[in-house]
Amino acid sequence: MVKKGQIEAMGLVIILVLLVLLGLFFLKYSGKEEVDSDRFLTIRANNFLNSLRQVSIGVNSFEDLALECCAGGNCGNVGPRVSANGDGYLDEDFYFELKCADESTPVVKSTNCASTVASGHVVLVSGDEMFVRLCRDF
Amino acid sequence: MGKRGQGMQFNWIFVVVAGAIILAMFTGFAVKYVDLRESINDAEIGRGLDQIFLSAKSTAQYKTFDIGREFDINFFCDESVNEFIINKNYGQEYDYVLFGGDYEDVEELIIWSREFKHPFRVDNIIYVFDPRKTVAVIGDAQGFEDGLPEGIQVVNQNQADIVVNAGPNEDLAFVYARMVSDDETYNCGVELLQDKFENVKSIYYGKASNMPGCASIYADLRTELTMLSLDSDVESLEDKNRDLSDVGCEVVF
Amino acid sequence: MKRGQLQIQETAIVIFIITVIIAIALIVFYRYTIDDIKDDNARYLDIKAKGLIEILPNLPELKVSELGIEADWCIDKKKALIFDNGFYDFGRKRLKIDEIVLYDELGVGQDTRKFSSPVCMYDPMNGRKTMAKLVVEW
Repeated sequence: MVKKGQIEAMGLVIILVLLVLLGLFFLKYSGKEEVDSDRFLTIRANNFLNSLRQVSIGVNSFEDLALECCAGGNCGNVGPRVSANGDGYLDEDFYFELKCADESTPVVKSTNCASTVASGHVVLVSGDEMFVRLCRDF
Repeated sequence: MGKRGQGMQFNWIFVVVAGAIILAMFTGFAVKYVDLRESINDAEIGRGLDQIFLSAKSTAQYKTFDIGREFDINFFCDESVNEFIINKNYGQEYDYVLFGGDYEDVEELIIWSREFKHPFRVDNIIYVFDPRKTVAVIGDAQGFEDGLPEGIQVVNQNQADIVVNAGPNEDLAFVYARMVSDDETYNCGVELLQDKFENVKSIYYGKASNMPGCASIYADLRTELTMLSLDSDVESLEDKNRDLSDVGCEVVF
Repeated sequence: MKRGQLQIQETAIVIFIITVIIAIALIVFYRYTIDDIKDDNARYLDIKAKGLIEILPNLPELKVSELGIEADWCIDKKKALIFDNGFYDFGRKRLKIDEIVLYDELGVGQDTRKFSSPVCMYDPMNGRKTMAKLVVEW
């Protein structure tokens, strides 16, 4: 009788230890997401906008071009300028929007992201705003 | 029959001893594990602070650091290393200009950064302070209170935990540095600032050596830069830089 | 007597096996914790590297400064060309803005990780600002 009890006890201990081991392995390989990379992608997005607004176009800057567009001038160059300064400098596809303070139709670079990893936002002196969204490749 | 009883007794003793050994093993493991977890937590605090300090270098700002429980922080430096030590256990090395004191059982720290210019920006100096402490300043220190972040109490001399002297026309950067740190950390921080200053100066010297046109102004400016120290006046250098702009040449800084 | 001896031996074997199983479990858990710490360390090194896209454009040794006013996120090309003077120690990394090497202690023949960000580059020789790419490799 005692022998039977000992065997049962040992069996229980083995099962317990195996369960603990399994639990540990499960925890280890359940995968911890890289949450921090979102912060740096946001920095990247804002870096892009802050740099873009300063880029020289002739004697003016891109910001001047955007302000002129929102003041009722020519907006045809905004999109191509954004593409020229975004493609190759940003690692991912992106969506850009120039939203004028008077809320007229925004100047848009591309189709919207299916999924956004980070976004940036800058307000110009005139109250016009620039947005960028970095797209996730799916 | 007696021998059978003795056999059973012996069995029990054996089991109890074996059980005690296993229990001791588990207890020892648990103690070691708790120590390990504490070390990991200390490292997380140290690294977290390092990240905050580096981020504060980018723009002048202030923030409070609060992890919801008490910890110790001590600053240490010698010829080979600058570090701050968490809970007298984890030392986080740093190589940037940072001033702070030795604080025990602190739950919240005030961290602020402030531009230091001479005349060009040299660095954003980081200050670390225990908001439980009150300060007073002696001497001519215009803007002392305005330059402090929220949460630091400025009181009268006889009520203050820390009393700092401000020399005549002394840059507040050094007054704040003495306010938050002891002599050793202050001296180490000033030395790092000196090194940083020399490096920024050498970069501007190099830039001024490679610019087209206005050769004589650039040459004068380089001479001014060579003589520039943290104690010297900056007006003459600033004038030379402005002269470049006035004649349509590219400024150095 | 013989029966008693058998019982003792049985108990001894049981306890021995249990101890061995527990020891194995503890060793596995110890290895798991060490791996966890290594992962944390690797993650920390990643954060330190990626953080340079925020730190570098704000260093006075690189940032554009005109009569005491600094241009956000804009790097002076003249400064960038003379930046690599041995003052900074960023560890085993390579830092470049377009073709300009700011720092290189990476060595060869290793798997490297890269993170980049657009920045503005100002050329004092012609007074123009262009888009550039800051790349951190580690």
